[in-house]
Amino acid sequence: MLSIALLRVVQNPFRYVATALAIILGIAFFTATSVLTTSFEKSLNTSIEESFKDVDVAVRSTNKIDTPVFDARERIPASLADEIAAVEGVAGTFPYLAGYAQAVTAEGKTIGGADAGAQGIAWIDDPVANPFDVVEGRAPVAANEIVIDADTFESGDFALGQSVWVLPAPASSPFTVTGVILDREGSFPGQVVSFTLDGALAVLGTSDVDQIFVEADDGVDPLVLAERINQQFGGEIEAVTGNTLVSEFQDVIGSFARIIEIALQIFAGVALFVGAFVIYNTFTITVAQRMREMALLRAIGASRRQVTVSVMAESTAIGLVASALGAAAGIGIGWILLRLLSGFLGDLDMSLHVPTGALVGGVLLGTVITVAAAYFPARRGARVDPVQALRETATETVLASRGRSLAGFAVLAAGLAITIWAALGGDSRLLIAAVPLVVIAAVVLGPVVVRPLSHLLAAPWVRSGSITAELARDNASRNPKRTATTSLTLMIGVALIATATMFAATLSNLIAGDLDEELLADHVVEINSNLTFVGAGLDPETASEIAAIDGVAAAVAVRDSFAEIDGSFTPVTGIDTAQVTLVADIEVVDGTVTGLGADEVAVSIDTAEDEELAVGDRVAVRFQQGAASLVVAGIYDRGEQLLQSWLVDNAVLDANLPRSLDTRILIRTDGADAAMLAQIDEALAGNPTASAKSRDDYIDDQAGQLSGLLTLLYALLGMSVVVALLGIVNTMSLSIYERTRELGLLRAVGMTSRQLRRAVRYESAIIALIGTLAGLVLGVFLGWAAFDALGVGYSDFTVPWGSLIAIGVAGLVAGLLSGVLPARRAGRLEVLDAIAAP
Amino acid sequence: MSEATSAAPAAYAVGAAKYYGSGAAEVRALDGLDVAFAPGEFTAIMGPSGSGKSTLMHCMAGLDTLTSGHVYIDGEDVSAMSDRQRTVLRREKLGFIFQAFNLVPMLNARANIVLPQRLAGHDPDEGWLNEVVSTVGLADRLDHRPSELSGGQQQRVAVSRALASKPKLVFADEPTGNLDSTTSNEILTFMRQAVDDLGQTIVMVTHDPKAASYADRVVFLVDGQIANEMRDPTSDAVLDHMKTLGN
Repeated sequence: MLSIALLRVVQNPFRYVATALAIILGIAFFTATSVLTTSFEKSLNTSIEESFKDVDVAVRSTNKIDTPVFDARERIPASLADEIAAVEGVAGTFPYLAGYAQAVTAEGKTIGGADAGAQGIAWIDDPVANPFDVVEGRAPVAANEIVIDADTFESGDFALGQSVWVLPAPASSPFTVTGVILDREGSFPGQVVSFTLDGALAVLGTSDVDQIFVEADDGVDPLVLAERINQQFGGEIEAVTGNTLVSEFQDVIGSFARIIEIALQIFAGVALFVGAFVIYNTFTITVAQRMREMALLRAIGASRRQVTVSVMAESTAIGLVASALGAAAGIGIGWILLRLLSGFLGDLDMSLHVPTGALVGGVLLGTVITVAAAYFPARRGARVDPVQALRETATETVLASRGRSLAGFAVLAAGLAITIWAALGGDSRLLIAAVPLVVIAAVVLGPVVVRPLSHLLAAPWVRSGSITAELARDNASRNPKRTATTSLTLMIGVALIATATMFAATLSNLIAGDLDEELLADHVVEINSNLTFVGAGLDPETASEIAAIDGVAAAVAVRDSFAEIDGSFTPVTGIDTAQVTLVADIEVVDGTVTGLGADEVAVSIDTAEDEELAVGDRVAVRFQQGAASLVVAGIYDRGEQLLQSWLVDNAVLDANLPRSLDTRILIRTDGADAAMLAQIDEALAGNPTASAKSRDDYIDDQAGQLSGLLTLLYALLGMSVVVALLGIVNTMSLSIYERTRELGLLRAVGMTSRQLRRAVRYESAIIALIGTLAGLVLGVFLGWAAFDALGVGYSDFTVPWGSLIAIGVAGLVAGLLSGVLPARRAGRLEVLDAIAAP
Repeated sequence: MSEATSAAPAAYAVGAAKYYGSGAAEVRALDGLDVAFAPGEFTAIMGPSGSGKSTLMHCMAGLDTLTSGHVYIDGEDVSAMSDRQRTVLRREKLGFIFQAFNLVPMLNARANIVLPQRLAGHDPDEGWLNEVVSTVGLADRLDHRPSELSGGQQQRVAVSRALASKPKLVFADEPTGNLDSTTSNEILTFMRQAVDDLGQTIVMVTHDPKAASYADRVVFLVDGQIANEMRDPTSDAVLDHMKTLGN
């Protein structure tokens, strides 16, 4: 029996091409994510180990904020280095300080590559402790000297001895380039410049350092030394060993890599799920086509079990080969993605690590999915009566049963009832129960609605008198289960794409609508959005300069910052609260938001309710450099989009941040003219990372921020759509094979090859359109349910008709294209051979 | 040749040859034969298995191409036509009745009957259609799909389809091969009627002497060549002749 199964595969490999591709794509995607994240993690782990291998002990503050990525730790006084040096067993101390600093070219332009980071580091005068080597020139000695990393040095066209401007320092205090540096481990992404400690302290506007690295005397155990330092200093100062430092970093990288891996594998899982349907469909069709062969096997004495096993063996062979190919392809794709990621992170050194576990797991997963998907068709095949070997041809049951329709409609009714009830004010969490019901109903009702849907979709073509469209329509609905399963695979991907599109459109509209209400300013100065997260900002002088321009009513500086409140990372916005109401239409519910003092805070009403805060309450807030107990001075309603949920005066940030730079300036004018705009631009000449935008442009930009994420989602979900389209190609090819005689007859009585090809393409398009439309309807429902569960009001719900129609048209085109190959095969049939086919 | 041949033939072949394979393995399915079919005549083609009777029909009908020689339908040289031209020829000028699998399963009887005209983009001639359908006795079965019809009814639908477009020539390939004798007689009687009453030209391949007895003329093929002809055949005469051919 096994040999029969393998012979089937070997003799008919083309029948399995589309099935195998479905598995190959899914497993390649799955393996590639593991290869990518493992390589990322291992490469970074290695370079971190290398970077810190000579650090015996690190001394740092115990105060920190857990941000979503790294800990933001308070700095400690640089002067501590000398005190630590005096501790017994300390061979040397190296203050480590890093912060946002960016070299500007002689033309006053920033250099590309800073998106991945732009930092200024205090030069460590020890070739072992310093992760950088000087490759040209010399290290900085004076406070106004600078060394630049090789890539930046080259792309900025700098020269040794040249005088350069370094942000955020003003252009008036330039630095002299004394050397070119290169980090040995390749662990510093983006641009890096380095100054003497004094120089770095001046540029970063601080007298503190991040941590102090300690080298132990020979023979002194770092653990013992750390303990000794802890006993001597204690309090808010802690000493940890280099090993602890490394493992902390590695934990952060590890959890980051896991998050990325899981996120990507969810999409790989969707593609595999879709692939399972393709496999199920293939085996259902091929088993049906081979009913006589199976009946013959049964007639000559094979048991049901043996027949089932023979199909399972066939699927195992396909699953193993395809999964292995997929895993191999996954390594290649993972390597390409790794190169892309490395480039995106400023040429971070990353080498390929192939996780054996993930490879084996991928092959097993693909095989198990294939075998599991083939199991039910195999069992159905084994149930064949031996006597059927003698009958004409048998095909699978094609018509949807009455029970199925009733059950499907009952489930659908239950799902919709819950939805409507939830929408009419019931508990919106119930939608979580409604969504699976509606999805199940879609699956169960698929075969029931295929016929009416095919008729509806083909109606425009059929009405124009096209016999090919009529044939295509009837073919698409002659086996509703097969068509439904094939469309279902496409429905899944399209539904998720539609949901994502709805989400993006609704969020964009909400953001734009809120900003339009809240923003009174008519111009906004912003830092290049790629640079805000590396810490770029405007010198507070700039806002004053703009405010002084003729015709400018107000130029209010905004500082987008963060703090830890109630134990969690929280965005906090600083603003010149004396002028806040001039640029933001804030609706004050209680207290005031104007002229807040250095110990005051205003909160949005939603936050106040969540945190049970009232005016006069005290809140403990930990900023990056210091903690404060703030009094709630006001509660506001409108204004949350522009200024977030926690609002303080800039003075609070000045007191509690290492250095506070403005990230936005909201400008209100008495009517802007060209001369005034020119003056604003002139004021911004002091910072090439900043630019002024009109109010409308600013709102558009903010609302459009999701488009990048949406594109990424499209790409990730696109994989499942491709697998689903392969499924259509597959079903069409198998159906054509099955209908060979009928096609021969059609050709004999006068159907031209062109008409036949067109009919096949139309049929494929109808199947794709059914899937696309079902996906769109389901996607809109899912999006709406999700938004409702998130508490977004119905009036705010945006249906992006244009995008949805575009998805529908794309489905139609993809369907027509999926039909091209099967159509070509059908068109090439020799009439006589086809008529004579078994 | 009889009085019927005074008009130009509906179809004829000149030096028709069809070879398969080459060298020692060469098979001469048709070995350069000449044959003509007069309009309004019912011809049966008979011969032992492998005599080339089906190949002759396929080549005459533009379903297959000749290795050499020419086939003319209604004065047009089929051998010079492209696949597309032959397809158009089939649906415009020819009708087909096959032994089995004559109908498209998902189309009902009526849609099957008018299929060739629909494919050609023509509107069916309703009057003619009704005449054909009522002659065959299918009027109350038109909405049924093939799976809901008996074998005999299916063949009647196939005959109706072959006649519906008023073709120059109808080719029938063992049209009663799958039917019991009563149903066979019905179908053959109807085909005879189509020739007598409607002036239809029919060429039928068969191995059944009883079926051949309905024809005006029987052409016997042996080894790709015409061995003999018989006019106004009877079953017994055909059977006797077949015995001599078989040896």
